[in-house]
Amino acid sequence: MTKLTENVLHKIEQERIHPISVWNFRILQSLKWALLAASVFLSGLFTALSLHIISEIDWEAFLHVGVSRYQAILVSLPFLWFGLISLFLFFSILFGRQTRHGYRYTYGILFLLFLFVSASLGATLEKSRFDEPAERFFFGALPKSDVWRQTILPSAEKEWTQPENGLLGGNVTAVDQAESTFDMEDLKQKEWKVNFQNADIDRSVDLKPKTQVNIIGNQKDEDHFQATIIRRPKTAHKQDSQEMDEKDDSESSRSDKEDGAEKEEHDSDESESD
Amino acid sequence: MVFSFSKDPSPDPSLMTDNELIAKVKKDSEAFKLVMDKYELPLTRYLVRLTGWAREEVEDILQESFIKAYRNINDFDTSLKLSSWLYRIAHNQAIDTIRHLAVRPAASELPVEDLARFLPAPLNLENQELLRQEWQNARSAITRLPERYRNVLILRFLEEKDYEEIMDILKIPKGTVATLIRRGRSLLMKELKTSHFRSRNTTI
Repeated sequence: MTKLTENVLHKIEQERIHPISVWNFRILQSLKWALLAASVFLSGLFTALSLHIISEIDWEAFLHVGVSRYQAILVSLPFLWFGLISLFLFFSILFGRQTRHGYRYTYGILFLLFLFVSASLGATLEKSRFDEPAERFFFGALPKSDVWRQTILPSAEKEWTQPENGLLGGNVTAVDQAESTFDMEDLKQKEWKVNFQNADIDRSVDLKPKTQVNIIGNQKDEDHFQATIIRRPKTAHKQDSQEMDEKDDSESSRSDKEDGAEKEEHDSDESESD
Repeated sequence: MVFSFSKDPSPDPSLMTDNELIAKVKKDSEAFKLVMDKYELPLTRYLVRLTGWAREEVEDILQESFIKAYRNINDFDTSLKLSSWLYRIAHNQAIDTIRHLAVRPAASELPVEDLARFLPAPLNLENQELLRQEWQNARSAITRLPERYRNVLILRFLEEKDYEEIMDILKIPKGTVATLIRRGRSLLMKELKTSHFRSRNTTI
């Protein structure tokens, strides 16, 4: 035994040094993985919200009111969400490197890996029904003042609350077919009377109370608007298709049940005849 | 015929696998001396090369490294080589000590044959029978190398570790190891050429 070995063993004995429990290391590793998972999830969630906002933008509407494509992109892209995606991607790489074998991968590879995971997760969440409640939650967390929402986040709300620029969106509250007008509440809960005489109404629009509509036209005065084009918002199309899917599912399950009941009846009839 | 079995109190650690050694230490702390017996010499040599200090001076670093290894024995990743894990601990301990003392590693303890191994074969300084002054230049050129290049060059050419082991010891990706070796070597050559030229001019 060398002098150094003796010294080390003596110190271990004298200072009562013990190996750190295996659980300490397991907890630490789990914590690192949990932080990594949370970062990847949040970056995926913000990707979903960005995709949701981008999919909601009606680019044609911008062109109708004389905004160039470049300006439309500049005012419509959710730069705040992009910033948060970048931030959580950065955290993902940081926590990824902290895992047991994370050091074996370059920052570039980890960036591409987590970008791919976030994009896939974001696309999946956007396709699911999770994006809208999440958006409502994050919008709710933001200060309610108009300045904040207008400057930080583009949204359908922002795009379709510009009556002065000829864009108005909201829910129909009452329809007067004889007068070719309807009452509506815009996305900021302001009441409007809309004249739809000579307006080009999209086939998907069913003018009745509670229908969501987007209108391109002219503001006549403080609460009167002349519609030129009326259509359903893009999100409403998504909701419609989801409702259709639900309806199809419930109908198919009902018909399955009916088939099952018929079969049972048929079987019991056969057994009785035997 | 009578067979007698004698219980060997201290089996040869060089014959045991890393996992056998670790399993033994986890059961019996006394068995840690087998780990120390097996790795004391290579780690001492590595620390001397890394710090450029005398053998006696690196003993404290090595002692602290072994104690750290003992405390963290349950954190040993069985997918690694035990030697890589111990080199990593010793390396970190040495770097901490150097930073704490705020000194640059000295090259005074690097033997001439070690210096020659840094250099590519056609430019081997040993074969060119360099003057004593030029060896001194080579030593100081290695000392002047930035820490990250110095670390990989020592591990690759003096400790003869492969890229995987260097990756595990320094906790950097394999591609980075290759880049650091290539750049470190060319930096060293540039530094040596400059100092060689400078010493020639001084002599003239």
